[in-house]
Amino acid sequence: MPAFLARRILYALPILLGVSVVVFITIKLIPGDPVSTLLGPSATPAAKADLTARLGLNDPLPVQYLHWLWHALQGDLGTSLAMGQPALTLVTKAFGNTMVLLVTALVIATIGGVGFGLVLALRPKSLLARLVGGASLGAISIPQYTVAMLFLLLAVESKAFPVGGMHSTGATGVGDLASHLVLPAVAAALTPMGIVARMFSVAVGEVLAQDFVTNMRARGVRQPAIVRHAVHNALPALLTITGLQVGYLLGGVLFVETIFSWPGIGELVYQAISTRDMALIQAGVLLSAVLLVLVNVVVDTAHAAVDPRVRAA
Amino acid sequence: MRGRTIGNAQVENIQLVAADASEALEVTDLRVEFRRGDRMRAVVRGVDFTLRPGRTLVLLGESGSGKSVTARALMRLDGAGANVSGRVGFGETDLLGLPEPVMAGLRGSAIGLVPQDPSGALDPLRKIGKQIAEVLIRHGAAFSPKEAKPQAAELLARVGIPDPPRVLDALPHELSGGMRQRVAIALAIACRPRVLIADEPTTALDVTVQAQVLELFASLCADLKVALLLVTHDVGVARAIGDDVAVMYAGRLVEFGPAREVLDAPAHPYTAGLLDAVPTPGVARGTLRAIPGRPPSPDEPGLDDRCALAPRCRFATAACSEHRPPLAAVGPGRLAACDVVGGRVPRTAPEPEAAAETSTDPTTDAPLEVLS
Repeated sequence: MPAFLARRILYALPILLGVSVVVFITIKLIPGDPVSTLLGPSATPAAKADLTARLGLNDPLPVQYLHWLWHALQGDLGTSLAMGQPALTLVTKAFGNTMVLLVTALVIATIGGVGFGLVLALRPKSLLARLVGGASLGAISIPQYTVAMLFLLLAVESKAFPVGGMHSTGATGVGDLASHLVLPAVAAALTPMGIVARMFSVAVGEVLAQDFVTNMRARGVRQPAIVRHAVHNALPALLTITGLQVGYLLGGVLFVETIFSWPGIGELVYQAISTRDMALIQAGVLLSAVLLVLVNVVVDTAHAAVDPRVRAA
Repeated sequence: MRGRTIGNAQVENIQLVAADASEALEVTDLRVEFRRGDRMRAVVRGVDFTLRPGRTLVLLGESGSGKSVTARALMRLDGAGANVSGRVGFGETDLLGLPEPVMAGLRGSAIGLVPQDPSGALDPLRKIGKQIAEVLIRHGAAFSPKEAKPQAAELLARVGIPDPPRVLDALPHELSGGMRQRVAIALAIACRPRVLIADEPTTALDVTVQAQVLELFASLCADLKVALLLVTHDVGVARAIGDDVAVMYAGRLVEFGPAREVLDAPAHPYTAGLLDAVPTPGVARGTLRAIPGRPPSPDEPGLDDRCALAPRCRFATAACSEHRPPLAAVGPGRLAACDVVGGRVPRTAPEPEAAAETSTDPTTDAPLEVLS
């Protein structure tokens, strides 16, 4: 198992390097000259040339990239122009807030998805299964920002939950955080929950159709034990689906955070894009990409933990 | 082991009654129909046989004859779409009338099943030891995984697996096909069943492994006094292990009798056809004779009113298409459902088309030990 993990991490390194190249080049491709942005329209050509040289923008692109990478590896992702703070500091703080929202949404989506998926797989003809089937289809079809807007509207009308931010002014308690979390987390979780429910029910259904299930019945094994076997065998599929949802959620919370003014990475990057804050965009995108690569490592490792056949491969 | 309860008291009574009977399982007029759209297809059309302790009955037939469905129906494993009628007598009890939870208590304890494909017998993610322990604990033969372990090791040793502790700790994919089939057999006999049903247990195995597995079945049958129903399409397997043979065609038994007699001197043209279709080493090329035509579909009308083999049978007369010959005695302990051949299929008369080929080679039929 440690060998498997080490190998996975080793495989992840080139991917991370590739990600850094893409992030670097994307920023270079975005129109707009950082020197003009920094110095303003009234700058003299001499001042521009001087700053261009100081920023290393005259160097060939690969040299610029290595320069940037060298600093990035030391934790220096530049300074946010708009806020005057190191980009990494800003991004890390926002990322922590996003993680609170994302992990909550992921837990809701997984628990709900597994529960509803089991209903769909084990009692496909029941009324509950029909309701769940319809609801999950709806959840998949409605985009997260629509749900978020709807929730926002209802929350403003009913005043049952706070409609924005992470904390009420002056409050820091967990209860306060939880009440602020409910709407954005549920809004973000609905689509992944629907996807997990449908995919997991298919996975469990496929296991239940396998010969070994019939043969366990032929040994008198009772239904609850058979369901346990089926869930165990469907776990690799569940891990894969859930891992994919992290990526989906990371994209989705961008909208949800903006709508609910959640001070997370989505909101931060959104502002950074509007103000052409290159260093901040770079740091935000890079950290998101690193997170996704890490999630894949975690999913693969968990997969190997569940299914010993993967470990050997 | 005998007085042990299987889930509830009612089952215990069944066990005690069955223990005194000379029949392990008595099947009477078994019929299985499957719903297909708005009509029913009769796949098994009234089958009778008896399984006796320590004896092996081979259910022989080609694909689609209903033999596997029959075997599964005995354990009520044919699924929700199946309509099973008739009687499966286990002692005083009709298994077909038992409530499902009671029946589930008998599966794996009183009746064991060895499946065709050993790779489909086991949960791919669970260690062998755990899967054996699960069955032992389910049927009350052990109370904890710890207690089940030595029993499981003993079972593996009984089915001829070398180094049981290693195999207990192995996962199914780490074993060979033959080993997996041995594990499947160990699972089927884990709770000392009185009846063992083996559905094509050697079909997925190499020939050399086949022989070993058949030997294992024979020794289990003798040592544990288990009544074995072995379903196969392989005449060689039937010859090797069968005490009795029941030949099945189109959902009915067409011949029954002691294995050696039936396979040496068949009393039904279909049995003879099966024997002729067996490739034999040392026999010249081009001498295999397939039975012409195909088995009837269960949807075909009139199967209850005529001999189902008639369109494919070289002995068929007009009468064969007008009424269905009953399974009648043709000798001591022998039954056959054919009015025409009179208890002995003339084996030397070749088909008209095949005559030219076979008559040039006088050794053709020799390995089949034709008595004429």
